[in-house]
Amino acid sequence: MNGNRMKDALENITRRKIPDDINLWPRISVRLDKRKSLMQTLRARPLLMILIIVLIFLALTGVVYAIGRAAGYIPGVGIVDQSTPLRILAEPVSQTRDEITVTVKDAVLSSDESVIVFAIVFTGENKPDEKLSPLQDAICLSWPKLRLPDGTLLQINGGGGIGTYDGRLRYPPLPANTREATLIVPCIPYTKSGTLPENWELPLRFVPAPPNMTLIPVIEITPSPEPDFATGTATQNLLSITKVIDTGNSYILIGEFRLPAPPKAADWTVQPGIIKLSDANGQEISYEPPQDIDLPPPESPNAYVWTIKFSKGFAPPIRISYPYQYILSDSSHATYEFEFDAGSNPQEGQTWELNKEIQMAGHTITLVSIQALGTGYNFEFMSSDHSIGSVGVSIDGYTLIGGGGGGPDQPIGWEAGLNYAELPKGKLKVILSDLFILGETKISTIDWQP
Amino acid sequence: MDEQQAIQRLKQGDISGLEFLVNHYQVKAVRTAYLITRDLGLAEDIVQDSFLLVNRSIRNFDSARPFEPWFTRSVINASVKTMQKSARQVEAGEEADESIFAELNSGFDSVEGQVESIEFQNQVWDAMQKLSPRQRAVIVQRYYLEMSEAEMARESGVAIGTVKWLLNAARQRLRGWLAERGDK
Repeated sequence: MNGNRMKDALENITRRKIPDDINLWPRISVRLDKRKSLMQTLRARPLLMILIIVLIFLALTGVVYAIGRAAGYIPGVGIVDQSTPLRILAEPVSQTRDEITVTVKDAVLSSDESVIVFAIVFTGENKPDEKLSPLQDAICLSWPKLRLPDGTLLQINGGGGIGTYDGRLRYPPLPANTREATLIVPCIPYTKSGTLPENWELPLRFVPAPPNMTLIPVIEITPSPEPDFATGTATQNLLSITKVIDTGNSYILIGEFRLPAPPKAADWTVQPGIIKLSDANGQEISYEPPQDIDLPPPESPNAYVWTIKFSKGFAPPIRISYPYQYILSDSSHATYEFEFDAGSNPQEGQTWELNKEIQMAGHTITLVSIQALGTGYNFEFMSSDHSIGSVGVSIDGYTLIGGGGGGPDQPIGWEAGLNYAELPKGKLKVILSDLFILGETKISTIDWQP
Repeated sequence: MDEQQAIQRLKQGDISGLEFLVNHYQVKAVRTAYLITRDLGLAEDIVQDSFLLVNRSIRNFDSARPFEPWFTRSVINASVKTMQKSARQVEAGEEADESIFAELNSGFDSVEGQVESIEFQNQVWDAMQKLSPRQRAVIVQRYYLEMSEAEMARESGVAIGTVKWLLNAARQRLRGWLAERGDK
């Protein structure tokens, strides 16, 4: 896509509608004036003053627990906003066609979203083919939609679960008076189009949640700044815990990791590592990511959200260790070109073992092999000194329509896949660019006490 | 007053610091929000709210960092969230099956060469309407704000591979519709 042309088009679209002399300040300043100052409020409400003093005392001990607990946790559904009455599925709905069963097991409608818990079970020969590729096969990529009684369709906003066919579908909130809807499944996701039953319609009925329905409280935590003794100012730990759920026999913690900017790097990202947990005795604690919690977006800039679930019965406090590694762009913008002769008739799966050593920006990269796959090529690279995260690959004169990469999950290697409308043939000019260099691995830690 | 001084003033409770930031960043912020929400009133409300959020949270802002990416991220997130919450439902039959996008994406360059600038802008505007708010946001980040993929990954708190995937999916949809319209 021509970036400059797109930039110009978007710029002109907005210029036509929004002039350069737009002025929001008068409206913002009016809204600022309407806010009473904190001291004015406190003078009028002495009880609030006492409450704030208590909160300050709690803050000094480490954390502030939120007083208003608007969020609740429902096992299997996740975290829901319970500030307004909830609606739930009246009864599970199931349909079976050609030994495939689609079931809506549960649903919770809250003021901010609609969660549908679903499962697709394959009991016969008709099963998804895991070898299908979205780049090469006509496969179903349509997720179920929710149709309201007036005919409007809600698209999926998110979701999660165990694999593709057992989990939650998240939709925008339904109007408060909506008591029924239909789950539309155009086709079974990630199966070959036209091979399995399509156009499923599951009628759903919702009822008010019973008053005695139990929601486990989600305790919100505001991390308190930690003093920086060098500067005398308060700074925040890179790692923080934002929510705690006590399920009875286990704890679920949700937290954030805020990324510090590396020095002298214009373009960078971070490769988060695997969290480790240990208790007061140094004993490593096993944990799992809770399958029913879809991670909320990070609440602060440059942050990653994480969640863990672990059993009770450890010696508190526990220490959470979060390793991370910077991936920095190559500031020299080095490129490397070489000719690759694929021949006039490359065959599917044909592999060229090259073991070609390449020098870029002072680093040695080995191009181990190139393999023809579908209408593209897969490049396998290795960096013997572990210093390279990835490198961009392109073939001169050919427009990419897709691709992907993997790594560096293996210790020293990674792959780059390129996909084109047609497989490039003959003598090809391969260009390597956009080097990303791995930085030092560091570990951030935080201690938590139930 | 420069940006650093404005932030310092605002941290000390001096509202003139906020006025400086509003004057400097409001136009680009409203245009960014408008590209995602497609509603000028909504875009202005989102940017006003974002500046009020700045006023409340400026004490947590690291003055060593540039202000604009931090603020822009807040505007983009608020725009996407507002659109997702507003439940702007797609009428039955209007939405296209994702599986056809890949088939439609060829020929974009030739279409580009054929259309006049204003017509191309209208096509882009129409095509963007069919993207999801999240896909619109990645197109705006990459092409309007000219952010790198690494910056987008960092600002969104996701892996760079996820950004590549999101961007590729949005580009394919956009190219597909542009090519489709260009053929007519």
